[in-house]
Amino acid sequence: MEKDTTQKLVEYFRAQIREDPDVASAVAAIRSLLEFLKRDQSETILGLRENQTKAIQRLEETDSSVAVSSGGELFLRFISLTSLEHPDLSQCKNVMIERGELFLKKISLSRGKVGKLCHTFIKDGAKILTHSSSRVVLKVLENAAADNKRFTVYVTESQPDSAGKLMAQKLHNLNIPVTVVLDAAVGYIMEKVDLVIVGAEGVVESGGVINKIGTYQMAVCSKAHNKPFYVVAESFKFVRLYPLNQQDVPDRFKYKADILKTVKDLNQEHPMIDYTPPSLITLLFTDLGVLTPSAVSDELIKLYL
Amino acid sequence: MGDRLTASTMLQNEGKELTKEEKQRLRKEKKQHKKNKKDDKGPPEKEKEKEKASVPAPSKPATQSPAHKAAPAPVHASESAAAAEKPAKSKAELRAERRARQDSERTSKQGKKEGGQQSASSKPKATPNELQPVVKRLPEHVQVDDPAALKKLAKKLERQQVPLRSDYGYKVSLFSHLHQYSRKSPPTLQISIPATVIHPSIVRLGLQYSQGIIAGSNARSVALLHTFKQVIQDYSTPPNEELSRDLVNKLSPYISFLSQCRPLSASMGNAIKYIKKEISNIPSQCKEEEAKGKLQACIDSYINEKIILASEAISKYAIEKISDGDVILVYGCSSLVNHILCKAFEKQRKFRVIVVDSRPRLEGREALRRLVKKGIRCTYVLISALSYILPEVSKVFLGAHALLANGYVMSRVGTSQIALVAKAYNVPVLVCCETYKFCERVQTDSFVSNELDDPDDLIVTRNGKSHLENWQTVKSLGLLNLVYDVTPPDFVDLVITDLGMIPCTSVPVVLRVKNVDQ
Repeated sequence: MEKDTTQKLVEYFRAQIREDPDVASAVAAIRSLLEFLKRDQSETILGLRENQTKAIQRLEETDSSVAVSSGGELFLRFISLTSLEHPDLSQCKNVMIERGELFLKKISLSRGKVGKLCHTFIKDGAKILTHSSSRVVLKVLENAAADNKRFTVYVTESQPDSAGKLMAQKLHNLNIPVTVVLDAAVGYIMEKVDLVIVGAEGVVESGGVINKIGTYQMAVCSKAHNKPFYVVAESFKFVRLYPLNQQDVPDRFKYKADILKTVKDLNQEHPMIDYTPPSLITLLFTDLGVLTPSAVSDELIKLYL
Repeated sequence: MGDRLTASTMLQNEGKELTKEEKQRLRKEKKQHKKNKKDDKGPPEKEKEKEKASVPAPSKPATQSPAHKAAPAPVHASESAAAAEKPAKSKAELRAERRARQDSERTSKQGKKEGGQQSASSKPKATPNELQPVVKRLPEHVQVDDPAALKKLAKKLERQQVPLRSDYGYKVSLFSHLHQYSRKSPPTLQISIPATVIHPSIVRLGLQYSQGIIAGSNARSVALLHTFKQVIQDYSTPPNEELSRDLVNKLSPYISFLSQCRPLSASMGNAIKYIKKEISNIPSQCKEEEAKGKLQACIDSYINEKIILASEAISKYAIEKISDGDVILVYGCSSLVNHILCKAFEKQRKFRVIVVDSRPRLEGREALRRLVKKGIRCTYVLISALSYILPEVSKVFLGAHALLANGYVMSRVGTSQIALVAKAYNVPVLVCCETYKFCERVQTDSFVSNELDDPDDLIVTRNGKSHLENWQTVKSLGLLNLVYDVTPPDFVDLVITDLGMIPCTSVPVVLRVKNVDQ
């Protein structure tokens, strides 16, 4: 019975992503969790929470991105961070659902907020370097283009899934001049660009970011050339991890979910993400405002406490 | 004049050896002496004395009377200066002015509890003719080369009947603003046994501090709190006194004595602040036995929460950061780091430890003994071999004496060296520190506030010969035995506290959250 409901959950999640490819995976996950909550048949609040936690775990197994895990945890905290002292369970549940809808609405708007904040940092005639395909960066560039700014974009190919080519196509549709460069050409192209903007899969407690593999290299290069390195991320991507170095990032984020289940020797596999320490990041643009990496910890304490 | 004096005597501690009348007489004589001196000098010297009296006013927060005493002196000076500069004002007007000022000062002083802002309030009233900048007072222990500050301290200790400890040996000029004591002359030599003013367990504690028998931030704080429990047990409220005010006043000579034995650590300072707050919050209708029981329970819960449970919480977080196959470097003997490593070993983590040690304290040997007893594989090196073994190390765990408000870590001397070299080798540095050691101070270097230990400790005897034995005879030779140093936050990757894992720059956030809680 339980397997059935979690199966339905995963299907709902996958359907969400299919219908709206532009939505962040975390938003889709939260929508599914909300739907799951609505259909939940538990008799107690504790039961509800347990089912939610299990659902989050199940979704993490499907899509092993940091954002799903952080988004799920924040969702759970947000809906239960209210007085659930009502004697009637259905009333409690309604309160939780209401808060869930509120949370969902808030985070659906977050990408727009980030876009509005960041596009002012792009000056006319700027040359921008970005990495792989990020929907938030796309929104930022869209806003800048709508503001009648002229700029060119260099995108890295971002192997092994060639996500960069997808990004280039989308930018081309927006009539923004774009060039695809090899991952190995980041050092070569760095002297030409004015600023680097990347998205993030997760923002960690130290103020560093977890993003597609190749981001760390780009950050080190931009530091060496003294170019500003900006990260754009919504606030639901803030996660309570604190990696000390690349090896300290948990394996469940580094590799895709199906690889974790099937492959025995992970040393033969390529990790999909890497960790960029806060010393290499100039500014982070979030829907909570423009933050320095050291301010992220402050915001995290506020979000999670 | 008469009513002012009795008010101040009521606020002051009753010395056990000097009676009230004797003290009153002494004070009257001193005031008369000062007034005669001032009448002899001209107005410009009055201005100078005014400033000297108001600027280095004592900073100890407990008693209200030192600031009260400082106030009459500048008030005297200002009113005589005013009289000299404005001959037009009649004597009656001046007297009325003076009385109004004293009344307002007295009410404002009785309204305030701690003494931190007192000088700021008395100073603007004392010098009405000048624009008074708000001078932040320096603590006494970093003003040793300022004779005025020394005089103030001597007067204060004399009043509290605490012996003044004299400095020993030649001090390196860069650190001449700090005390340097010798272990061979503890302040207990100057007290009569049995001590009448200072509680015997405080005397014992002071001796243990000054001889280095109790060392280490946590050990000192816990010993202090236990001794205060004993003091509270033996305390009895004198008639016509309130426990909440009198006990705080009783504690100040003890604290002065302990800081003469060895300068107070940041953790001890926070513990004392907590106790004083708890004592002042005792309601006046509370019976003595009940109040004493409550205070002892408060102290027990403080030790339990802030030290014991905090170390459990920190171990839990720290163990997540220790993975199998790790090579962990530790420095000196930090009770918290040893506890973490022992707990991690119990949880079946496979790691080995490299203990780094340094002269003259050689505290690493104690850490080595504890870890080896548990069964952990250890290596022992001196700090000079640091860059040789660092390529093998995967993580560095350091303890802290205090965490400053700008994110700097104050710890045993040598810690910043280890953090620096670890950074150069890209080895993560983790600092473990309980939140009760966080302090509001800001420091960017190790010179401005530090502790100088006995210089004779640096003398080493080899083959029966001690080459530095007669170092005092060589005029150009100075021995420097620093105790603490300060590590900038760029070298520290992670701070593990009982509130969680935070970056070094988030210490002021924790301080803010703590202040909101209280």
